[in-house]
Amino acid sequence: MSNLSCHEAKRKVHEYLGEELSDNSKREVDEHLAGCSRCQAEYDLERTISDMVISSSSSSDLSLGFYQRISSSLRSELE
Amino acid sequence: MAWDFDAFNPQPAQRRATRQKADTIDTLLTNYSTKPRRHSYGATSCKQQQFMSDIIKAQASGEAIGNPEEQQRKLAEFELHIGPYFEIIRRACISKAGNQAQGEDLAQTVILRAFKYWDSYTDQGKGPKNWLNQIIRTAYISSGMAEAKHQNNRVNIKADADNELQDDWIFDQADESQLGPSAEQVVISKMSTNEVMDAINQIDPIFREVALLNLVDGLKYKEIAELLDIPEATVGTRVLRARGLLRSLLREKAIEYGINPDPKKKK
Repeated sequence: MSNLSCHEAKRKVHEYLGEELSDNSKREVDEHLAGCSRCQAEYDLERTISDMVISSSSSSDLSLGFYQRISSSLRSELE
Repeated sequence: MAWDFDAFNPQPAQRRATRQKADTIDTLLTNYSTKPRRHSYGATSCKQQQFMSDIIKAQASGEAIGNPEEQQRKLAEFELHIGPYFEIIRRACISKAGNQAQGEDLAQTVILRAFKYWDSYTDQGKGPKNWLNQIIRTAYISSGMAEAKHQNNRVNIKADADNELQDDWIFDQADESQLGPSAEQVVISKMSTNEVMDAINQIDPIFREVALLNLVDGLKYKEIAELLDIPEATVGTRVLRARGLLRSLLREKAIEYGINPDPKKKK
């Protein structure tokens, strides 16, 4: 297991998921997760939430009105 | 032998091209499918954005056949190049404004301004992001929102909240759960996309849009920092805060919807 504490690992999990970590830091987190089931479960949970957010945002029609507004504003610029 | 379609079709070629263009747009509107993805800066990111982008491409190709007018060509070209950034512009503006309505108004101003000055844009091999960042910055300042934000204590308090102590608060919130993360995962993964969207929409836009720019649009912290004119560390903290809040909200929603997060406790 790496020298990372659980607190540090949990902190880095978010950066890991945001693809912000260097290869070395990523390796440290991977090593910690491999030896710590609690942090591994934390990572899995955060991963699940990320996937759900991506999936929900992709299937949402909430901003469709905005795009329709932009499209007609741009077209009215031509008139 | 190549087929001579005109011999079988009484319509003039141009009318047929226009109909094909309309058919393409109609097909896109009807058959559009959801494609969850994570992208790099500038690529499309969600259903609406892909929807716009596909229509724009259809229009661009159609107008090349059917409409030779210079303004139409300019619009098609603008939408083709800048359309994929519309969602990023929208999110950045909402985050800057601190609320959806003002943010979308600001985003509209930015996009119309970008279109107005499209002729002056020259791609120097880096894409339009710096050019767009500048337009967002100028539009934000001239809208008066920057000054209002400065005087608004509520927003300042939130900006001040971007510090290490708040990071710890986020972790404390996560640790408040009596569940282990595995059990929490089971509960949360039972939730529908609508329930997740409800929770996402309850997060303060200042934090929410930064997290979505990172998670959904695939922007790096550095890129978001440049886009919003804030320090990179602040981006990291806002992402973290949004995620912590989302997790708490999902847990609350699970209870609200009758999914008991802790079977040992009676509801």
